Amino acid sequence: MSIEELDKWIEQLKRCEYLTEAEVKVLCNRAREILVEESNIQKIEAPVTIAGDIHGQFYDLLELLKVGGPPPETRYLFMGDFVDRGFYSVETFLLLLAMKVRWPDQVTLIRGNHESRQITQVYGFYDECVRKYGTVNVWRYCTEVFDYLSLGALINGKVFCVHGGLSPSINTLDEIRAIDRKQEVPHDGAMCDLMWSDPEEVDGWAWSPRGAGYLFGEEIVKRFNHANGLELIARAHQLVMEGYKLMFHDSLVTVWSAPNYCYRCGNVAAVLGLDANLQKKFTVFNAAPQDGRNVPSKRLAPEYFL
Amino acid sequence: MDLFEHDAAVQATNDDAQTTKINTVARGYYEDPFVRYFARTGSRKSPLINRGTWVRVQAVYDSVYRFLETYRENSCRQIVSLGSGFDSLYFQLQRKGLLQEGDRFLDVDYDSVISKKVEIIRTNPELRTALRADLTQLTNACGAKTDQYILAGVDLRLVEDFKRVTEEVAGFNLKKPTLVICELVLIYMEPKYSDAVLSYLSSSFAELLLFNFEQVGPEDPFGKQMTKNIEARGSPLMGLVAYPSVRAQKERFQKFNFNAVAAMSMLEYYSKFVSASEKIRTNRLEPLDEIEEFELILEHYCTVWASRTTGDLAHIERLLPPEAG
Repeated sequence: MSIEELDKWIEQLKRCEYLTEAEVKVLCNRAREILVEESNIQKIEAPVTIAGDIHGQFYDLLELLKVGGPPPETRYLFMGDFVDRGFYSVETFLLLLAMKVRWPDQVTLIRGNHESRQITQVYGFYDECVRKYGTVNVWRYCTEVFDYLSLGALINGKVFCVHGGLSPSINTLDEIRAIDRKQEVPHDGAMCDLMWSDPEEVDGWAWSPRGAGYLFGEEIVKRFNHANGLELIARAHQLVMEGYKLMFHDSLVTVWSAPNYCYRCGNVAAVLGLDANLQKKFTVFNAAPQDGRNVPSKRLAPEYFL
Repeated sequence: MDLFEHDAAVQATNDDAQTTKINTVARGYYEDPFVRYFARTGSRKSPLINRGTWVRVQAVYDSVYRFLETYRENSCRQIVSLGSGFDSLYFQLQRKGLLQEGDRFLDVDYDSVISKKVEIIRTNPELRTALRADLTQLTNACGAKTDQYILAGVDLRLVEDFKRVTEEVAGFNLKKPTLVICELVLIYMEPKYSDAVLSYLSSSFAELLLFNFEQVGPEDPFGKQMTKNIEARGSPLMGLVAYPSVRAQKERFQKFNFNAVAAMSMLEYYSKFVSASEKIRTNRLEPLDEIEEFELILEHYCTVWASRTTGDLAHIERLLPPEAG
């Protein structure tokens, strides 16, 4: 696969045209070769622009790249949940993956709880692959890539980025580095918690209503940041109507990058830019204009109780 | 859009509701052996919709059980489901042995929906067996009936027709305890029409419990998007502006002289009246990774129990959900 070919694929994907099954196979194999070399916690130098959940909202991803600036000029960290829920998980994930392969040092992808075989069979990515390709092969190639995605990222040694949050079985970044990540997301344990947990106004740890991961309070964050010399935890995972939410005296931030989530929630989205001095700048954006996109068929209309 | 297209779009909400119920039953949220006869299996629904549908069904069933229990000594209890669609509630009550001789159950909906429902029942041996009686064609309206179960077509915008169907076709006795189920029906009507229905009911029946379930909260970002999306289906929420909040819903029924009214968001209902063990059980059925969205959508639906009696006021409290009255 040449750079020309890769550039051609990126252009094609930006038009929301997905690749052939054979091309996906090549792309996924190459992505795996790159990802296998990455650490569980990928090191990133600021400046960098951090994005939260995308969830297959392809046209909104284009909007994000517009407001954030195109790679490789802008360095990006995407904190997982690329697929499921939206109508274009295939195009979304393949575009992100093609950008990763094209500019490996400028684009970092970490794993979210939806980058999982089990969850994608419930929330749409599996069905979408079968609908678009007629076979499960593309879903299989993509889920094999999921197993290689990093669990987190560390910006300038000061900002820890993870999809969900902390785990009661983890005290240090080194303990995360020691996880054998190349597997399906487990139902419990450290790796699961990193992708499923949520910050909440609780004392210490509490059970999560999601049925996986935990709720963790300010004290936990304070202790973790102190033990690891961190200033900030950046995470995604939870819909916030304003696109981002600082918590716990600015020691943790949630970034949400799927505007009008599921074409139903009416929320705005945001990306977080960190400059070379780790100064924060949030850019809020709206859903892509409706007329610019292929209108999804009626049976994919947003669901309500009717 | 003309009236015909609007009515067709509102009728289509029935198909969506039934398909959703099939999914919810298939997932193990609750038992309903009849629902599969009334709809084709459709595309997979998200866990959020499955769980919400189950909560919605719980709210209806709880209301029906409370009503039947409160008036268990009465020889004739009457239930009418407005805009019933293909709902299987009557069959469920029969299956559970909750109805007595003398009770009456009336499904009303558009003529086209009622004729289809009658046809489904007529041609399905299991449903016919479950009826435990023969269906005969109505002579004075579109539909059919047994001694206990009446299915009648009526356009609820024509309140005189509704009155005739209830009192003459179905033979409802204005003095007997009556439960009215309004599950996502009033909101599709212009307020002047839904007001007329409520006014007729509250001024005519001596012992009345009404359960209403419909959307609220059009003003916030989620509500704006909801209004837009449902309008795009061709079935605008015509009552939403007139009754936009839980509070407005409560006042709505007080306005029509209901003696006691309890209203709460579906989220409040879920947190207060769905038991912890049921929450744990359903958590195990499928993962729900959409907690924030689940709460958002539940906040945008309202449940109302309104009761009116000219007799013993002590009954009212038992009709409403505990704590909430």
